[in-house]
Amino acid sequence: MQDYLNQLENESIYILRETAGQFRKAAILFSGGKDSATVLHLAIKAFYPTKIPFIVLHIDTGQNFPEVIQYRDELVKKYQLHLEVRYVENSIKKYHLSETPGKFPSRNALQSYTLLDAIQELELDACIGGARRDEEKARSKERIFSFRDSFGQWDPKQQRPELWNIYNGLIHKGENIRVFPISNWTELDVWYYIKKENIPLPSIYFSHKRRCVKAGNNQWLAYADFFHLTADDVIEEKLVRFRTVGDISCTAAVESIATDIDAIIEEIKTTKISERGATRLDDKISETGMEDRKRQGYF
Amino acid sequence: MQLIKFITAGNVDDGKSTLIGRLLYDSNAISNDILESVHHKDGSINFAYLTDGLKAEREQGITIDVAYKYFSTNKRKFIIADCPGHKEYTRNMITGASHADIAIILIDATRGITQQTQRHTFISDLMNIPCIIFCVNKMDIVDYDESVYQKIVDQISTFQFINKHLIEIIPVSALNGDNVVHRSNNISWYNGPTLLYLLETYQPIENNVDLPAFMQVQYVSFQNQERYFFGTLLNGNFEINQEITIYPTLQKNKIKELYVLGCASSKATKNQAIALTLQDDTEIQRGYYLATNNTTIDETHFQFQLHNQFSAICFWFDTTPFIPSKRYFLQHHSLKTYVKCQTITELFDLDTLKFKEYNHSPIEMNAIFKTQLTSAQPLLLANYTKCAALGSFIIIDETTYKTVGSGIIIDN
Repeated sequence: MQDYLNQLENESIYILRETAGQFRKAAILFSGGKDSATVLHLAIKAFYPTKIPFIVLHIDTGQNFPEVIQYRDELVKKYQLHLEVRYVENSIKKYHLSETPGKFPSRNALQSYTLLDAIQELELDACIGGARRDEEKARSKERIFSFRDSFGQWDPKQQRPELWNIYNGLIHKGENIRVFPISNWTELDVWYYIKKENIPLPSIYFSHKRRCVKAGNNQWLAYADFFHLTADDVIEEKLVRFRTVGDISCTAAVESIATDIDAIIEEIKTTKISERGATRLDDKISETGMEDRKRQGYF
Repeated sequence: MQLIKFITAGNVDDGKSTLIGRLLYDSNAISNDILESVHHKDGSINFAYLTDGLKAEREQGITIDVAYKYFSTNKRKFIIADCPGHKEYTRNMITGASHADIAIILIDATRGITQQTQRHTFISDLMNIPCIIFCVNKMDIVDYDESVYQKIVDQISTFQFINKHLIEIIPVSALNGDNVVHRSNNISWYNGPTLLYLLETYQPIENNVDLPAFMQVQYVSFQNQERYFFGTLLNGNFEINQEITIYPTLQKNKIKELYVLGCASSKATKNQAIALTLQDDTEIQRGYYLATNNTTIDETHFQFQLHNQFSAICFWFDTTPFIPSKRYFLQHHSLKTYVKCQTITELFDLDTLKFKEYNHSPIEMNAIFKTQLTSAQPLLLANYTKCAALGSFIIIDETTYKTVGSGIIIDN
């Protein structure tokens, strides 16, 4: 096991150092999820014993799990990170945006506005994210250095060929590169690495009792007071954990008794449902939900 | 457990996506919800849907871009780069080949070896992929006839290769799963390994070229009155107090401190991402090389040297043709410099599959050509076959910033 994790780790560190070497100002996009925690951990190792040459950017939808915000602030303190938070709430007011209507109003798609504004305001030429190619079929075609035009758009047909480990990060003013250092990791790789490196995670990844509301076929969301519920909605206390961490409104819980990393690894190995399939309401909208959002500037 | 990267190449209808789908399916790498979205109404599975990710690909039933797929068995973790088969997508194959330990080339048993098969073989050879596996697919359609397979084996044995490879030829039916993961009862005349067995057991040969230990500087950081140099050790070992030479300045220096993966260390080994400080404060930029002093190198055998002028085989990727008199950027891993073409000597003919003398025709997308290049800064280079890290580069357009080509260093 160790062998290939070392190989993945060295590859990711190489990418992070290329990012530091090629860009004027880069930010790690931090969601508090396990993937961005892994990227942050890799960055700290990559630049040891110096401070990481990136800022940390959190696009706050206002629909976070409180545990995740607490976790974020602990990390910032521990590693003395330069954290910038930008709020989707402000974009909603500025651009008169509306949330996805329905029982569980989602701000997921609105993050693009806040992110693009932040890129401009903070003069970022690169944003580093924890997306992985195994997550979703549109992402499987993504480059490590992924070019975005001045509108933040991804054009899968106009991607720069990537050969060997040579990354072309040249851009004009207003354009941006999204960097994905853990592109080649799978969900299980991330968990093995978290275990090996003892990376702390938000508590919601582990089994806990939670008030949940039924959101469809066997899907349960953590209860939040901004949901528009009726008397017919089923609210129950469940023993759950979260397999991915996104907004409360679009990240479903999975029923689980896994209280430590070994149990989680065992659970993922035996489950027959993919990571996003189990937990993401936002991908279910259409066959090409992710591709459409990526083209529009989503991460 | 090892990580193995492989590419799959073949003609449009050779069943490449079906083969990948079969490999993933029979090794239990596909989850139920994803299977659900690729099931036909009649219950059969469209394996191609597992690899064709983009809207346009599904609509047109073709693969446009390289798709990366992941699966693990108990023995290994695999990364597949699925390269589209059209003639116009040679660039994708070269891109995929640059990362690959193994090339799987599909041959349609009903059609035999085609020109495209030979092109894919040539590219795999040129890119020095150490192991090439030919899968003779659709054996079910030819009634698992041994003579069909044997004819193809005979043809492959006449192929001429530039580099050394391990070569295997397997009769399969991706559709029915014969010899992909499970051994086939339909092909009892074949005693060789299944595809998965080969993937799981192939041992990449370590390239034992007698080279100094070296790294390219990716990033320099000045903190706490100290200059830190970051890079990956590409060969050999580094130790504290070791004497090193800086390229291209050729200054001598000594390693003061070493850091490996977040820890101070007295020694670093090949392929590790490292950081170091030096005894004497000298100017070192991104793209410079640090190497142990090499006394054992036979210069006729291997040149660990700086070059301004060199020979290369280049691949052209852009829709705008290559203009020999134009200045381009050349990126040699972490070093970017200008490059100009002195002459183009030969152009690869995709029909005859041979290099022929260059007759000043335009260098279009997918062209492969031999050329003499001159760089603005001296580069630390080596023949690509001997050392891929020192022998590969990309070409970038100075105004559009697009990656328009790539190349490998060959002997003069």
